[in-house]
Amino acid sequence: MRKKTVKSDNQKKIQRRDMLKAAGIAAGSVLFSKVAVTEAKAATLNDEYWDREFDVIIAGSGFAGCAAAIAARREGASTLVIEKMPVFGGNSAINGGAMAVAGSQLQKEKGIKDSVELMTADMLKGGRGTNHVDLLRVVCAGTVEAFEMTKEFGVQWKDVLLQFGGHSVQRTCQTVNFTGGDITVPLMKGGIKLGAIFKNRCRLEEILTDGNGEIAGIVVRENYYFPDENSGSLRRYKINRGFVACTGGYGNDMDFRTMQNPSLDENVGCTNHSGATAESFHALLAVNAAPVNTACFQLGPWASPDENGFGYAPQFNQQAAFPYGIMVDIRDGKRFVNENADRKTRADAQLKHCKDEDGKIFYPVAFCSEPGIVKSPTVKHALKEGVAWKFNSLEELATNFGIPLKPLQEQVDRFKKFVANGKDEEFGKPIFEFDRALYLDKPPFYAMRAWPKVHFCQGGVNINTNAEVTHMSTGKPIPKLFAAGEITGGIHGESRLGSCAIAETLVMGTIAGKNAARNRARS
Amino acid sequence: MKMKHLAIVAAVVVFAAASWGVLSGGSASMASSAQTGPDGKKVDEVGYNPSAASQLAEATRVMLGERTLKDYHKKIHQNGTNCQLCHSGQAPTTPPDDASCIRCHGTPEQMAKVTAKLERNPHNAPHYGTYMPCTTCHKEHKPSKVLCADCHSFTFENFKK
Repeated sequence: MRKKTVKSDNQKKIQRRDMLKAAGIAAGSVLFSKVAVTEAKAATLNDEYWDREFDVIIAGSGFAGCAAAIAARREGASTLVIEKMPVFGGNSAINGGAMAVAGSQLQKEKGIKDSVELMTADMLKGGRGTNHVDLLRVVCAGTVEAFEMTKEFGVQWKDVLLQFGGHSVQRTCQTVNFTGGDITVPLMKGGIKLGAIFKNRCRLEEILTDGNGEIAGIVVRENYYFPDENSGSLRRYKINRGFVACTGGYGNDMDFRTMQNPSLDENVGCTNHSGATAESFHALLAVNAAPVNTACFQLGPWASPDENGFGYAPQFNQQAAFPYGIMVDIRDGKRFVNENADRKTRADAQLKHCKDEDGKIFYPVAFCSEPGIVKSPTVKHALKEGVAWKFNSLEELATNFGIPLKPLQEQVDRFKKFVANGKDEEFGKPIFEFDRALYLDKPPFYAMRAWPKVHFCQGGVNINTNAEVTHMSTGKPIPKLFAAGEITGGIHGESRLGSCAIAETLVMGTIAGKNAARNRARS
Repeated sequence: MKMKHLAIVAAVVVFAAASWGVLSGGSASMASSAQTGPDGKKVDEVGYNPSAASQLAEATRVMLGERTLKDYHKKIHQNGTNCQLCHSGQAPTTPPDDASCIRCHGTPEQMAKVTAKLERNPHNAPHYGTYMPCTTCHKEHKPSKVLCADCHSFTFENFKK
């Protein structure tokens, strides 16, 4: 109820500013309007207006937020990280812990040739050429440094390299417990040790600007008890150097999601945590941040209809069943896509092939042989939870899912031949020479049903290579406003490749935090 | 009959709300800041402090049984009459601070040791470590639900709902 008071006050201010701007433009002088608004607003932003004051405030405590906090503290700025959920880490904490690194030490040791250019080219291809290439280069070029930074704070990585869909070489590293929490927890501890304050149950409500359109501070809801909109109390925090939005995606915001793409209704699953909502995106739009690709939602083709959220299936499918096994349509026992293509290709194929005219879904089945699952130790949990199943013969597998055995057997035999020849003649899936022993061969088989779930938002606000958010109408950076991570758009174009999110968020988070803290001129 | 019943409930609710307002009035005004904004309003006025209306709503929820009390805590908070025990000086419309839980149950690190032998340690999960407020999963006034269940189907046998 009271919240509305602030909104309406501010709406009045915005209206007044817009009126003045219109008047200014009419008078042929934009500058005039700015001066006028500055005078109008200067009096309102005295010190008594604010409850707390920081050099840098970061909203969101995922990969980007943690990296930004570390970078900002290293520049000596007083730093606050606000997190609306009771737990820290956002969606990063439940991420799969896989990070693409171009030119890692592990690649060198294994004799894998990789480069910033190659990773950029892979991501550009995955993004259907619509990526913001300048940003993409910065991300790829920063991966080695970001990877080393995580190790510095005690993040433990496995000694294994993976090749996720759409990547042309094995460049993906994974944490020991196969989860992003392996990264967010040590980075947050590191940030706290460096002197950053992490405050949970504190939600960004509104970004406040002064008359110049420069960020002055934010309104937050302290003691916010997600998802109770009326819980807690509103406070105003002053920001001296920069506000960094690391507020993540909005994949679980049903209103916003279906507004952007009505086909992604509540019948479509989502791998995101419940806090992946759009209100921070709205707050950024309200201060004229330029939006990019807002309707671009990525569907994860490796998710399972047999569990909620992210769960265990993505690990099994990405690490074992998709690269070393096959995925078949249960009606004809045949493959229908390169199981290691990029995510968009695979999810589009699932949605197209595995539904009948009436829209009835026939969940496809992905399976591999026992040697393949060495790459996916978490399959033991999936088996226990009833998400994956073990079969002692192909017949047993076929009967269980109602797949006609004869065509399935023929499909398996064809695939075995492709592996032996080193070439997938059906869909062009990469066959790794050195992993030949891991491929689909003989029983027992491990199988899982696969169906796309909303996983990632390629869209968000537009940033430049300094992680500054740009203005919707002028195209220039909005003073003191920075953003990094899933809340930003453009880097991944239409479709993000797997394991490029950690790469992006850590690299851009560091840049955003550093630049916000160095933004002394205005403090 | 039904009308009579409703009338009794309404009377009780109004009485409870009135007495609650008197009781919490002091602490609410103490908590509010003396700062004033440019429009002359107190800073706290833009915030959500338990107004008479919200207190009435809260009192109604207690009356209607929507605010549950857990058997194992009833003795401690004197059957729900000692709000201060968990909510400290704050109005009972905000969740209690972990410090209130820690007084009896120990620190998150100590709790993590208690449950260390479980196949999955809820107090030291790979996603969050020990950085989890108790009230993320444990609720007093509504059914408790483990955060893990958002994605995973495993359960904890001794978890009191």
